[in-house]
Amino acid sequence: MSLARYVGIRVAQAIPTLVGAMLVMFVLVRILPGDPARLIAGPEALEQDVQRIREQLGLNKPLYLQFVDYMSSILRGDFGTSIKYRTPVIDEIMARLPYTITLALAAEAIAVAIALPLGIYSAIKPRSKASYIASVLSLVGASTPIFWIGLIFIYVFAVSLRILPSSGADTPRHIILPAVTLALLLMGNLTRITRAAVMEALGSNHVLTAISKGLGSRVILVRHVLRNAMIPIITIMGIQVGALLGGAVITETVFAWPGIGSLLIDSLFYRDYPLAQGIILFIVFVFIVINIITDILYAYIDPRVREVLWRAGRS
Amino acid sequence: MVRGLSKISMVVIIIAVIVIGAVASAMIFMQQAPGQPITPTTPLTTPRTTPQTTPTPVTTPGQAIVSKKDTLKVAIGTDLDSVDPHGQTTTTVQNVVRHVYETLLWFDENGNVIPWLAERWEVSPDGLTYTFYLRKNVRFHDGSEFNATVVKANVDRWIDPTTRVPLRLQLGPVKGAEVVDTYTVKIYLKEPFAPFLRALANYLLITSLGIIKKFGNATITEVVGTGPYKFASWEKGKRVVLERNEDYWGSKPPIKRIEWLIIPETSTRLAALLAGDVDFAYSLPATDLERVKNDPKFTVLTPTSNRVIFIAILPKGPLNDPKVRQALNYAVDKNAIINSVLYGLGIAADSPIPPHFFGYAKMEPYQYDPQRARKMLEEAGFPFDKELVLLHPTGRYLQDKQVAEAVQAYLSRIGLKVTLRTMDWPSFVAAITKPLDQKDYDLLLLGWGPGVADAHFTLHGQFHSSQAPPRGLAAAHYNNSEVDSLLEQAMRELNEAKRVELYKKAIEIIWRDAPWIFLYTQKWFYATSKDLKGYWVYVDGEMIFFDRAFFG
Repeated sequence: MSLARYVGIRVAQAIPTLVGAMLVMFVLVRILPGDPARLIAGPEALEQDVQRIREQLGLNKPLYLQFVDYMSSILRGDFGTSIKYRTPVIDEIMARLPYTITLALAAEAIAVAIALPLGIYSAIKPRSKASYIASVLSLVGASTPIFWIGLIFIYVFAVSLRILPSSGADTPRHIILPAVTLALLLMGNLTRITRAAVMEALGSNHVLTAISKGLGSRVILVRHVLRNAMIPIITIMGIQVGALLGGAVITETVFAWPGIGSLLIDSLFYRDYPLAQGIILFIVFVFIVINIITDILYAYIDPRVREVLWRAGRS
Repeated sequence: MVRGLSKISMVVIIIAVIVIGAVASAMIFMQQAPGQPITPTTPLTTPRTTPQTTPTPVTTPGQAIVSKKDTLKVAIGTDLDSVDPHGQTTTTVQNVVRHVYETLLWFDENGNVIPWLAERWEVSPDGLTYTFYLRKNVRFHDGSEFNATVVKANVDRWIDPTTRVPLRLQLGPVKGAEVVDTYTVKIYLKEPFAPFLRALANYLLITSLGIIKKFGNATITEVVGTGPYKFASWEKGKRVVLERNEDYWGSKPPIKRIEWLIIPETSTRLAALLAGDVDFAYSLPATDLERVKNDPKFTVLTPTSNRVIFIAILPKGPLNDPKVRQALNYAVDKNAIINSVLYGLGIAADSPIPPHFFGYAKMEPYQYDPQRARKMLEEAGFPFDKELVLLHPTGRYLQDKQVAEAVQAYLSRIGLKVTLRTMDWPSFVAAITKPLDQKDYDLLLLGWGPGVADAHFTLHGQFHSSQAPPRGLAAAHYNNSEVDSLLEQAMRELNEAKRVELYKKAIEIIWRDAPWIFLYTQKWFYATSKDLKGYWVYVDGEMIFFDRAFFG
């Protein structure tokens, strides 16, 4: 089947991307000044002890040998051992992953639930009050520091009103504040893109034709306008979910949400090379997968894209 | 197009359903997934032993304190990095696991070394052999017995070069251990090391023989100790739970369960305390000190840390003149920095070491006097057009960037040109570990906080010439053979009065030579809800122990 073949080609194309990304990040994390052995032992530790740790970590080997070691263990499915935590990198990532996925999906879902209707409505009625509110909200959401919003939410809902927990990740109630905070950030973009896409579709010839044919407004909106407007919306949603799965660093830190993002920052701060590499590799992987999924979704929604893809698959 | 609206509301409902579904399913997934609990499960069968005659810092004989609440929630800033008893480096982490692991000796609230798992000890006259007589009827959480063999196994693992022990040499030059009989063990040193007992009380956490056999020199990931609490579970990045050891050999803690919640952001820790989500919060933002102090619901603690903060002056060019360095000390108003930049969370330096350290000697402070500073620089022929670079980390110490800015302002007030160079901590450490001739800056802001409150660890680490970078981290590259010799003698001197005298001499020379702009000893800002009582502050002014805490 040609769609399967198309997916196959995309996956094959992803392999050099992954290897390239690995090489780049391997070099990049090591270009940063800093010595993991000293950072872990602390400044007060004696140099002989620190030197011993360097040897144990293999950090005294030449860089190219370290890279060869790293690549060969990746091929064996071993992502290495975290320098700081001394546990397999894969275990550290898996412990945090459920939290990251939950937060990403919840935030994106909230953003979509609000931004999509808002965007559509303000495109249909560009001069309405709702439309103005939508523009202001999206501007505020996109430009306010998320750190500040997060703290304000905590102080209002946890400290003053005491209706939600201040931080942590124990019950579904714990996800409300971080998810809404993140959603505010996402909504801005999503509303604007939706509004622009719907407005563009509204002005296109086939919609004019449909109106002149006397089709009902509901049919026009769903079948002719939204379907055409969905492509840019799905693209932006894909990018947003991809970015969120890489961890929402600031939100996670403010709300003590134990996700991937805070782990990545932590690993870079300790120059925990294997852990940082593992997380970045994971993020690259997520982006590739999401890109493939988005492309398939395009094909599903837009028969024209499907046609092109299938032709490409046959060639 | 109006009819389109009802379509929109339908979309909203559908999406709302998806949201709820996604969140609910992910939450279920999450409840199951997080970090494998590390649980010592073996139930204990031995009868609880009665406390021995040795003094324990417990003030209620006979009657046990009853806590009104069973669970204590504590907010800390960092997740555990390692639970290996011999791999500890981070104070917060050590604080958590030290409720589970114990040591041969321990400290009372005044910082004195007291017997703990060892009931008494003897030191040979040459200072090379320490004999410890161990407490009997102490059992580990895995049910095994504590005895001399266990102590020897812990010492052996500590000194094994293939084990990752970052602070190995901080314990001292340990040669080995020998089992004399079941409850007597000797520890041998390669050379006399006067701070040994304090170091032993702080560093050598004891785990069971079974754990050492199981893990060998690999990282220990199961927490088995003899302490008042057992390690119940650890969810990475989220929380660590300790549960009361019902068979503890000493007095049983009043609180059943301690939850250490990992909340990295200081403002969030404060919010968690204000919201009542936690009972105790570590290391809060200095800017909120007054506000919490004035809130009747909370008690504020500002314990004095082991950490001195200073500006190291590199002995290069005109700065290689003690008179110039003294002038810089007169130019900076430490008290003003403490009051306005640190919100009072500091003690102005009158010695290179904190006042609670063993070996502390009070010196005549460099009183703020900009005219005098300027005059001294002029007399020394200081080139005022020279640009000085001040290197400093950011986010490492309390208000570190702001303190560096204040120092810059004070120095420019007497006509010096000072440029700040801000770095993240890893880059900063890389920059200060270079040899002197590769350093392209003149001043650096650093904090130094050894785990043990003994003059040796600060003075030797910062002023002995053998510790100059790249061999060590003696930031000012100080090199004075007289000080070297005094510090070496003090390290070997077992007579405490003589030792204090030696440190006093060394401190006098260092104070006069002024290799630093001596700034302050940092304090911490912790807070707790008013009903929590009985917790106590460790000698390092950083760790808090809850083994006697209760809600009243």
